[in-house]
Amino acid sequence: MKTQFDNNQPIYRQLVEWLKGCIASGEMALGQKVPTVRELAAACKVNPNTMQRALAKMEDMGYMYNERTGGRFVTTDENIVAQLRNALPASLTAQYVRAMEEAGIPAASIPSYVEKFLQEAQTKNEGSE
Amino acid sequence: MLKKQLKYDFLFGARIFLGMGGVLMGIGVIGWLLTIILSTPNQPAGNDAASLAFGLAQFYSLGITAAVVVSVVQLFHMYNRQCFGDYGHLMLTLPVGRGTLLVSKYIVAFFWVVFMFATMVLSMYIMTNNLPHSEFNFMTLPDGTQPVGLGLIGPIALLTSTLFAGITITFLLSTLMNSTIGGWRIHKSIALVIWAAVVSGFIIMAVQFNGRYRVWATREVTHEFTIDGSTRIGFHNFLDYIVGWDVGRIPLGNAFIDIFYVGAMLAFSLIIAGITYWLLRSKVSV
Amino acid sequence: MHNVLEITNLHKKYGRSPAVNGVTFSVKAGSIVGLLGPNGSGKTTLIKTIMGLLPSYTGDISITGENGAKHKPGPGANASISYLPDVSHIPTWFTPLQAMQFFADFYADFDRTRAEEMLTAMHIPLRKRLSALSRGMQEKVQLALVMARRAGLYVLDEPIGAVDPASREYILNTIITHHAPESAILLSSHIISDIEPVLDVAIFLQNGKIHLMEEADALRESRGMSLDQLFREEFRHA
Repeated sequence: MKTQFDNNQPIYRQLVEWLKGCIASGEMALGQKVPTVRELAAACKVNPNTMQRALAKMEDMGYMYNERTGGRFVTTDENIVAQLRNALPASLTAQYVRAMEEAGIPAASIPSYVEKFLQEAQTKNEGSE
Repeated sequence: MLKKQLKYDFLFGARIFLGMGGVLMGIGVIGWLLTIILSTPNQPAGNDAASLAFGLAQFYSLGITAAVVVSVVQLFHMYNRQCFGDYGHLMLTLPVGRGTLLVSKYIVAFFWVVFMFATMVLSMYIMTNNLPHSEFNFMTLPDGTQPVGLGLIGPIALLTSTLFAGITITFLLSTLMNSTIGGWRIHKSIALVIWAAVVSGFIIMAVQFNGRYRVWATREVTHEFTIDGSTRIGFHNFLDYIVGWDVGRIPLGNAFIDIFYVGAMLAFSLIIAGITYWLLRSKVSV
Repeated sequence: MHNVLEITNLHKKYGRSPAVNGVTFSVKAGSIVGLLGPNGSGKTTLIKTIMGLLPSYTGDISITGENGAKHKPGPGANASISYLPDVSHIPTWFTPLQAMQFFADFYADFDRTRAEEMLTAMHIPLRKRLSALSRGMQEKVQLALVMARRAGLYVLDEPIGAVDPASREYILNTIITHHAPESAILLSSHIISDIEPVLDVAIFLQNGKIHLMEEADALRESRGMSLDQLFREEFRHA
């Protein structure tokens, strides 16, 4: 679970992205019951109303639905989740690039950083085998 | 809510006063034991015991004065600490009216003050218990006369009304010191000046009834014992040794003076209490 | 949702200097409102006035209780407000057990079971006097007792002020998890960064005046920065 959100951006939007990420990665499985607003808010250390707003948005967008008997569930529609999964790399990249730009790192040099990181990770993996 | 406030005020007071009462009783018991230890088999108490009692009485007079002073200070401290300062953030934000708060504090303070006083008298009585005495007669003065007036109720009423007035004055000082008038905090020195004026008024009023005011110290018993083998003195004279009052002959008044004094004390207390309530309700800041 | 607290044109002076200099705002039920500002900006004065600890103010303060009854600051209002001051306000000769009994005696909305749960979860010895516990533990006891009340309004004065970061997290977590949907929380803090994710509404206070009052996310959107950053930039000249 994410432990720190960026206070410089509206938190509600970050929560929506995070929730989408949870579904795309399978952390919140298809049809799974979503934890209560309070539990999620406490886990993310954010305002419960903000979390509620994000969850409502997730319902609006069709990623979650509300049972009349109480309880919120992740959609059972595989297509929607597949769509999310496909869109995940793009949105994660967008987040990363934005963060790098904000740190003042020129966009042109970003690919080299990514390559370097991947190479080092590879070396570490090979070394530990 | 009054009951709950009373419960906790009583417990807070117990923390302070039970210990002190215990100490006083302890002193009395130790004194009594000493008089037993030092008595020879043939006489109930020899001159050694008597002179020891005499010596004890000297020290005890200091002890009683100290006990009175400490009680007053503790009373002030108890009220001051609970209603104002850090704990005031809790005590003054309870769903309890300021009037209820004050009434509870008065009742509990009165209880513990009477407790201290009773403990003092009891411990004195225990201390002198082993010394020779004539038959116990509560209501006869040394010249053999019976006092008129309200009898036993008289001195009790005088005493309790005076104690209560003293309590209200103590709380007034503390409340004054935590009040703001017109946005300005009452400075400690100003509070003390106002309070000193009130206390002076109180003392003048008490002194006006001097004759009756001291009757409680003299009315009580003809509980005599021997100091140096020759002079037989009454318990009231023992009290003289204790508190250093020169009793002499007290003119006996009638019930009217008792009632007037008690009435004056109560009226005085009510006025002070009223002022204290007004301050507590609308002028006190934490 | 109705307003649990309404303040209109509040002025409060200490001597001749104004501590609260014309403050107007409301707190809606279900919201967490942050009173943010440097030390000396009037946060504690404002809070103490709401709690009835400071007399002689001008303006209106109205607290709406459970049944819709409106109260001025005083015992009637205090029944609906759970207050955590920025000092140690529970007598230190109390044990946590006795403190719980005290709260249960005076407050009808005190949830004793919840209080015990919280204290046990924090490993607080219930029968030890508060004076025998560390300062941090004492503050946790205070917080637990205050949050265990099912009040319509919680007023927390600098709840994370003097504690270590681990305790800070715990306190914020307690605030989030024990926040009932119908009740409101008004908290004050001079530390903004830790507390801002928890807020619905931010009120920036300086020199006794409100400079800004806005929904937290709306501010982030419109100013493109965190509340902490915004405060540093706008109110640097304290």
